[in-house]
Amino acid sequence: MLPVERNGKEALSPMIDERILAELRDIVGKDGLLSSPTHLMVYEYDASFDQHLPDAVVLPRSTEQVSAVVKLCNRESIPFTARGAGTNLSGGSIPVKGGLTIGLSRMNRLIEIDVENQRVVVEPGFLNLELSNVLAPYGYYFAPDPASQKTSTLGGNVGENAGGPHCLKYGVTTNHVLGMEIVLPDGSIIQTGGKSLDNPGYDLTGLFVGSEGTFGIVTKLTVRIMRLPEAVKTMLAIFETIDDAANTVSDIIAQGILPATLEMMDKTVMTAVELAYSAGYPVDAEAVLIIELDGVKDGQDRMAEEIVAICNRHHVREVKVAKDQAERDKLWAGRRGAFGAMTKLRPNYIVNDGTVPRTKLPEVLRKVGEVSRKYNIVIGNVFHAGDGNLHPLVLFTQMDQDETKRAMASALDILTACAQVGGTISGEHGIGVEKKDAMRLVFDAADIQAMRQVKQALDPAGLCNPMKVLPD
Amino acid sequence: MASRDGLASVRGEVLKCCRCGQCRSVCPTFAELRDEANAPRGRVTTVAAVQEGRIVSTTDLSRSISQCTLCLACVAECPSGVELERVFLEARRELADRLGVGTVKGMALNLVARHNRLLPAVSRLAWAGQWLAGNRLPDNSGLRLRFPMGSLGTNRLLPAFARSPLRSRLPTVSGQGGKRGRVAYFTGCFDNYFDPAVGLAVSKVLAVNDYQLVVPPGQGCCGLPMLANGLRDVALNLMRDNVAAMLAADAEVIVTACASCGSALRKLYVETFEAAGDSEYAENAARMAAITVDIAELLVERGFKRPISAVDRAVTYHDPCHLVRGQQVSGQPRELLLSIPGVTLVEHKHADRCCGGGGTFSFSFDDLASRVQSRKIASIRATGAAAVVTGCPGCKLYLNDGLRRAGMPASAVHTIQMLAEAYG
Repeated sequence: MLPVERNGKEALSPMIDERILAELRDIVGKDGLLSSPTHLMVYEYDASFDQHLPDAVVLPRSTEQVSAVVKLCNRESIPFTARGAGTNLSGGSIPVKGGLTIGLSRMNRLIEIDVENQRVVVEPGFLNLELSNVLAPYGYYFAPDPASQKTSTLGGNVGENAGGPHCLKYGVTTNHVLGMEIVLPDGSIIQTGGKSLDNPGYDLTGLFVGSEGTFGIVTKLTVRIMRLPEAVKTMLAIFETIDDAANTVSDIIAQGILPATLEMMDKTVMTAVELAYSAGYPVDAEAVLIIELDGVKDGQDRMAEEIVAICNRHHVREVKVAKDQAERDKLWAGRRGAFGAMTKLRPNYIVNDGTVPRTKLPEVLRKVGEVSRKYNIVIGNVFHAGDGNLHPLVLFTQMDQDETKRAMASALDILTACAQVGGTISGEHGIGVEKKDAMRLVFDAADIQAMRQVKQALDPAGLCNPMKVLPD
Repeated sequence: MASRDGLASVRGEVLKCCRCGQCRSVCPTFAELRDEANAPRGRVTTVAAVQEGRIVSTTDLSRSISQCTLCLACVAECPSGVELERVFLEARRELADRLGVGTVKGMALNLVARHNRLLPAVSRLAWAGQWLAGNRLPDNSGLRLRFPMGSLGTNRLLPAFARSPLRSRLPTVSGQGGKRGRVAYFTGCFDNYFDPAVGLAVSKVLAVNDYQLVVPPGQGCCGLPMLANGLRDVALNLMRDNVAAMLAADAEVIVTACASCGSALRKLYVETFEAAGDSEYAENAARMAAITVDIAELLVERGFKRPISAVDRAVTYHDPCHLVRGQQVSGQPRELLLSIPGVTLVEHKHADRCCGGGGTFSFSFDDLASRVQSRKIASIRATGAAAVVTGCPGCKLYLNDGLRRAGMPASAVHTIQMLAEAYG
């Protein structure tokens, strides 16, 4: 029989001693402080590949608690890292220097629904999809729809400036956040923006969205909500080659048509998705496009016909139309669950989200194929094609060291290829820990120095989610 | 067959988790606690950490692994196909070995298992004695404590022992002339000791539909409560008795009216015997599983007599976890209800979400369970239904508890009771 640990004691690092724990307990209450080995273990990861143990975890319930905790961290020089649902894909919520993890899952109140002004005020721990569910009876929804929307928090979406399939037409998170309450790295509380569209002074809201928790901790959000569309039509275009699918994407946009979504999935991904969900994807085809139209009903059929005509010009095998909400939900469930489903093929994956100009899609996808062959690594493609936002899923087995190395090399090659055609290294997943070095592919020393100056101005002590985003 | 035993046996499952966190969106206990240690992903990670020797068994670990109703929502949601139920049961066994099971609960579970044959007599004594501890409620066959016991307050509805157990009230074989085949009924503890009305309804409905009914002697507790609390060896003894008893009945079909018993018989038996390296019983259990169905499934799949008496009632249906996810049965009970003239079915939001009962879960974690329960009750309240129909006597009791606490006039009934009523 193994010895039973005295809970908590062994896990204490010199950084956070008994005295500091007692102070933290005073701030967040007994049930808001976690420090046992078991508890720390479950806050060391996110949905990416990196991990690092925090020294303690707090789960505050108010802005005042967050502020008091951050002030304490400053006094004691303890690094701190904010965390939402921990579904982020680049290590943004991993406490790489240890210290304190500030989990915001219990700050999940919906403060105000202002339908007349199409605004909602909400705490950061509120879930993305939950917001749309709450708004549905009013005829509204929140547009940014990351694949993780069922489980990711709005605060996390802000940190990563999350995108999703429907962001092609409606923009990413930053286009929907109008104001915030923020606890700055020194613990002071500020208010940026508000319900109106263009606020005077510097656009601090814009600065904070996508800052990956390195500039402070968002404790309240004012977001824009949108009318639910009158009609939705979801089509599945099935192609025999990836090139045909990619060319169709460019052509649709070039014709001046802006669908709500233009998603692509290749054969590898469809195979995994069908194993996991039986969502109705054709595993014998090389690629599919999920094309969704939304908006007013008038004219939608005509636009669908135009799209079918474009698909036909690019040798589409078939264009299927989802006949009801159930069929549409099934397709989207498969698309949203695609990352997780990849483990049906291999236990681990790295996913990058390099973004390229749409017209370069066929070229870059061919390059992805070459990389896959060069390193003998299986790579699946499922992505926001309309945005040119790739998600090559590089599959490997972590226990196989050689395969892991080849997978990492493949991922870097793909990012390099994206940068070379005038694209960039991340469309929505953030830089976090994983892509820090790749920042140099798209920014020169002066660009990076300018960003570093902003970080230093806001966080001179360097305690707020340290060692993220900027290369060392 | 090689025994694939211990935590090592679920290493493969644990490694399948890609930490996407999708399970957080459906876990009923995470929704209340909002701490990763109580999310399915966190629970799997702690098991991994034990396997890797990074942490050892602590009460914290035990708490997060135990604060799960085994509702299977995470299993259904997981895109990577991690069999979380197997992982959690194996972890609970490991923890029970190392830390022991709570004294009172351990004693009770051992009593049920070791003295299976004496239980009918014990239950009669308990029937006579239970007024000492509480007040019986006539309408919904529950018991309220007169004074708090352990963590359970006086407001909690507990299962009340019936005056005489179901199995003593049903002949071993009835409806000998039944032309549609011989059906063996696995009663489970709830129908037998606490809620015989469900079992009597099963008997009536099968008779009306011209089946021959066997109630095999020698059956007992299905063993799931023991498995769920990490007492596998105790469970295995019961399970062997049950397999032997049910196969000896020589029936074409085995039915249950308890979602949890049914899911155990159909799935967990084979897995557990295999894990214990008992290939003989694994094989027998597979034979048993192949012919075991839920009562609603039997009626709908093979056709049933349409009831003619009207029951004018608006009802809503609660999907028991172990029926909708444990056995993929959800359409059939609704079809039965809709066949009853006068019944209107109003779905409540999240009908397939756990009621919080979770077998012994609600006794171990009364406060947490009642928080899960109140979401379910709020959702039911919104329908304005006069009754909640469900396919599990365990859910039925816990729903009645919640409805009463919320001061609602509605009560919970079993699907088969509704049908029996409509048969007049």
